[in-house]
Amino acid sequence: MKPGLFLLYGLLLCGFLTLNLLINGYVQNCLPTQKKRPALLLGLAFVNIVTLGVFLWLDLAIFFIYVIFTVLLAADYFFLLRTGFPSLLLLACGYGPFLLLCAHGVLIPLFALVRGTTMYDVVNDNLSYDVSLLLALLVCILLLCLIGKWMPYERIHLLFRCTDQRRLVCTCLYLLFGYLLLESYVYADRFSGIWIPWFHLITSVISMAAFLMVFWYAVDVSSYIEYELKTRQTEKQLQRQVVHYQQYTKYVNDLRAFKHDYRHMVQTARALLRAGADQKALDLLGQMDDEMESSLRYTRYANHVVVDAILQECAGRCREKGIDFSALVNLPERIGLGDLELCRIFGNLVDNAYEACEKCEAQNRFIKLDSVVSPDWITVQIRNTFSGKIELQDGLPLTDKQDPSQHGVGLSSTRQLIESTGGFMQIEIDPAGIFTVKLHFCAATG
Amino acid sequence: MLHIVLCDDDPAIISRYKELLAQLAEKHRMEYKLSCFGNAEQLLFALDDIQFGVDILYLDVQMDRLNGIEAAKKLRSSGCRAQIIFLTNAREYVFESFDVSPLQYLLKGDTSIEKFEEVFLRAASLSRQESAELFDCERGAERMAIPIREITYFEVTKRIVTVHYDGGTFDFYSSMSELEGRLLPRGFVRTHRAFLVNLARIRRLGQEDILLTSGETVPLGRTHIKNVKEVLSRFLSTGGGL
Repeated sequence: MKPGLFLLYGLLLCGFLTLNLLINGYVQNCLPTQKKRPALLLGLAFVNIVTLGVFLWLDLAIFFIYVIFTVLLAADYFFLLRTGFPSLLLLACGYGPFLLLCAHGVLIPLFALVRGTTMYDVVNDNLSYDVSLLLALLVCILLLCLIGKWMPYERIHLLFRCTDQRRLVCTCLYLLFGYLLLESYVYADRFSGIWIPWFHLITSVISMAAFLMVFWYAVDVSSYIEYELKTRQTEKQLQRQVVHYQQYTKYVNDLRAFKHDYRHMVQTARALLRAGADQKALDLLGQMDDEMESSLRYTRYANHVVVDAILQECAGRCREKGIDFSALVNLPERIGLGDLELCRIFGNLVDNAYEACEKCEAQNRFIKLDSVVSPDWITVQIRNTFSGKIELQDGLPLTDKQDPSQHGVGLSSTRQLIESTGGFMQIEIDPAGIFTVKLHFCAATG
Repeated sequence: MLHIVLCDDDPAIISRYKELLAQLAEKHRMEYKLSCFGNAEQLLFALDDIQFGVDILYLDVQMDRLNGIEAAKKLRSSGCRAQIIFLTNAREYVFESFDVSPLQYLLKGDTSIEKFEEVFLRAASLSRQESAELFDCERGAERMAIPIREITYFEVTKRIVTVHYDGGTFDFYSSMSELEGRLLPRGFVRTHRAFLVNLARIRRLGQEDILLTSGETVPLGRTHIKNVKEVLSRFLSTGGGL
């Protein structure tokens, strides 16, 4: 073999390594709340490239090279990331190889057209094949960088969180990928019509464009879904506030009415006492006491106005359903989270607890919140009864909500919020039917 | 010995809880000394004399002249580290009471004997930890006894252990397994192959490291994250009890 080919071979491997690392970077940055193991991934990338190198040396059909590359990536991510979502894994490992195949599918016919030969000749000549692959790698790397620039990680993040959209993109990707692979058998055809390279070129371009369009569109839709969820949450919060204000207005009105009655009653009591009807006066006073207890009861659940409003509203719903609700939450100012964030966290948790209790058929259903405060930590514990089975995945329960696109918005966003400020969240499941979420907030310093 | 103080303006309540405490102490074989006060002013006066050397303080909230929460604030600001438990009929003061970080706010009417016992035991265990428990170590002829609450973390390299505490560092010969045997039951957690950290000194948890109250960071090993979270969570949700 000529030294030039050796050099080309080396460059090819370098290209594949760069591509692999680039995809790794994508996966690490985009997967939500996954453990990151950069060193291991780097090591595995080398293993991939060596394996791939052996297969390249064997001069296998293009079809094999791409399938092997995809399978190698899939194996890496499967063992390292353990996402549990097949579509996530498939998307992560198919994305890079597919774009590479598209680029390659454009370059081979171009070579054939420029040199005026058939694609069979291009593919079966070692030099032109390697050069085309190298160029394809370069184009693919460039393309990935460009996509990364136009579409920041945060946006792709959204796609990874939204199951429906992810499935759509994944299906589209593998349909096109499969089709292109099948199409690549055209290289084995010696038939020398000029339309064949053109046809293959256009197919590749269209496949790539179609995928990118679907991808773009899906990311957009995911962000709309996220946006809508947030709006829905805000709306729910507003409703809660309204209920809270209504309760409060009622309380104020009751108080006014009581004050009005009170003056009257005191006069009566005085008159009764003056007339020597002590027992009657005592009865009257007892009655006043009862009334004050029954109608003028206002229990505060938290020393934070917004959180208190959320808890008040939930307490009201629980009362209607006969769920025992008790809460005493101390949130000092140094909790370091804004009203909106606290709103999101507590709204979510209280809703989850209420839904679980509602479904539960046990006799003594309850929701109980309490807190422990130390100088550095603020711990809030929410316990509620549940029935049925809860499976934990990655420390979070799998949702049983009808709409799976909402999965991961509740507890996982709570976890992200808390972890972003240095705290953490623990979930405990008591087989006796008690579900506990412990939030450990980090107190802000200074 | 535990020093317990009861303060309530109702003599009937005092005698009731006196009896209850006597039963609990006998049940759990604890030695204790009890002082009772009929109002908060007497309490402040008396505690000033004994330099606030009280372990557990049961305080009524609604009392004439000085209420329980005000009294507790005064005690705290003069350096009283006792475990305060409010015993009251009035629910409405509960949020105000948070300022003095009481161990518990118990409603007289709603508190079962079991609940009272649980809180009492927690207070007792916390005040035992609070009392200067010492960690002994030696290097040659040099001996050290460091109060456990001053220790931030231990770092082990080969057979040499470095203990980091508020006053500095000290090296001695030991091993991780030996340290773990001595310290895991006393509020420490392994965060890394070579690090053992005082739970009470953890300020925040990062992805790969832990910030301590001393401002130092120690590494958080991947294999230890789950356990650290579990142990720390238990520690925090019981208010520092184990």
